Amino acid sequence: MSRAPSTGSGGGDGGGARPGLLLRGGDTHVFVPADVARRVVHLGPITRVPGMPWPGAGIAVAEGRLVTVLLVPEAREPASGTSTIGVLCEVDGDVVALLADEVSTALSVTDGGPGDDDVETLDVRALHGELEGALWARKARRAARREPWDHG
Amino acid sequence: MTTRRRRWMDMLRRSTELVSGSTPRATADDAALTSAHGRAQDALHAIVQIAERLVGATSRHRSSLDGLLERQRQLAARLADMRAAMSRVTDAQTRLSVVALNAGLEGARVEGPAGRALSMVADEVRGLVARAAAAGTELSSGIEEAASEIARLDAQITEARTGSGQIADEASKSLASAHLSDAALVELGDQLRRATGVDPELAAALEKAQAHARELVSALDVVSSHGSLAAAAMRPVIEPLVRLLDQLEGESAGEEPGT
Repeated sequence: MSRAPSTGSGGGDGGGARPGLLLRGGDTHVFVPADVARRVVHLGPITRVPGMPWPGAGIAVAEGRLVTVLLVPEAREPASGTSTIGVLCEVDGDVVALLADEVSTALSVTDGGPGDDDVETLDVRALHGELEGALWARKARRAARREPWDHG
Repeated sequence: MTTRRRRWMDMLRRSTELVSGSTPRATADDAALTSAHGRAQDALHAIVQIAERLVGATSRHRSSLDGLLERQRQLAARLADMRAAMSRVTDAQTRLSVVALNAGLEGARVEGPAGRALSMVADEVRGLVARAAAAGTELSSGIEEAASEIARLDAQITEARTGSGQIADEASKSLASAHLSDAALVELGDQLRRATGVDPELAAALEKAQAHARELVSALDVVSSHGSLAAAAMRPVIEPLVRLLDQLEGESAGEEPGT
């Protein structure tokens, strides 16, 4: 995650200002830029997927489509079947929902602005990639286990 | 006049002796037994009345508890409605906060005064939602406290109702026992009448008459020193009494020629 100092709410002030959302997971806040975060939405009941590794929390319906739900770092896992709000993000053409303990505010940040507190920018693409990697690794392990049967 | 007064006094004294047990059939023991039976019957009638009042009171108490329980359950249902309404309010707040967040996000995206205005509105809405959420939390807490109090009340009313039911059962049993005892006492009275030949009602009346006669004799002893004045005052009362006693003596002599 790169670092992005927060500057509070308000329209873009120019000079490298980046709009986005501030998400809380546990005691940690992360910034999700507006070019990744599309909007905040209501998620339908989250269904856990057996074997889905972190950061995957399950799947849910958002705005009429099925999306993968990702947990931001340190966020609590929701109980299966609970409805909550999430942040819809677009990553490489895929739409995923980010789940945090709190979507606290929308703001614009100015990279490197003097006197601002540091808030890490969440790399949603990396988070999504971590899940994809874990899923593919699992598939590979299963395929390796099945291999003797396939050839037998 | 003195002779006549003495005669009255003698008559009255003899009448008290007559009532107090000189008759062969109504011995002192029989009269005491009959009198005790009468008192037992009176006491039992009082018990029956008390038991009837107790049954009535417990029935009213139970009805009152039933009404209380019904009102308490209506209140619990109303609280459930309030809880559901609170849930809808919370849901609306969540949706409003989502709208505010998205407005804020759009405001942050749009550069310039328009973006700032949108962000300001979004901030204001989020502030209002936060205040509403705090009030809602307080309200929900109040609703839950009231609900748990009502649940406790329900348990207590149910317990009181059970207790009232037990008291009503016991009171009904007491009343039934009192009625049985009354019937037994009536039967005992009949047996007593057959065994002693003394009618309980007559015995009671005689006992009363005896007591009154004793009081009269005692009073006459006091006024006897006032001579003619006392005699003039007492004559209208005593003369019918003497006639009655003469008649009773005559009847008694007729029934028992040997005495």
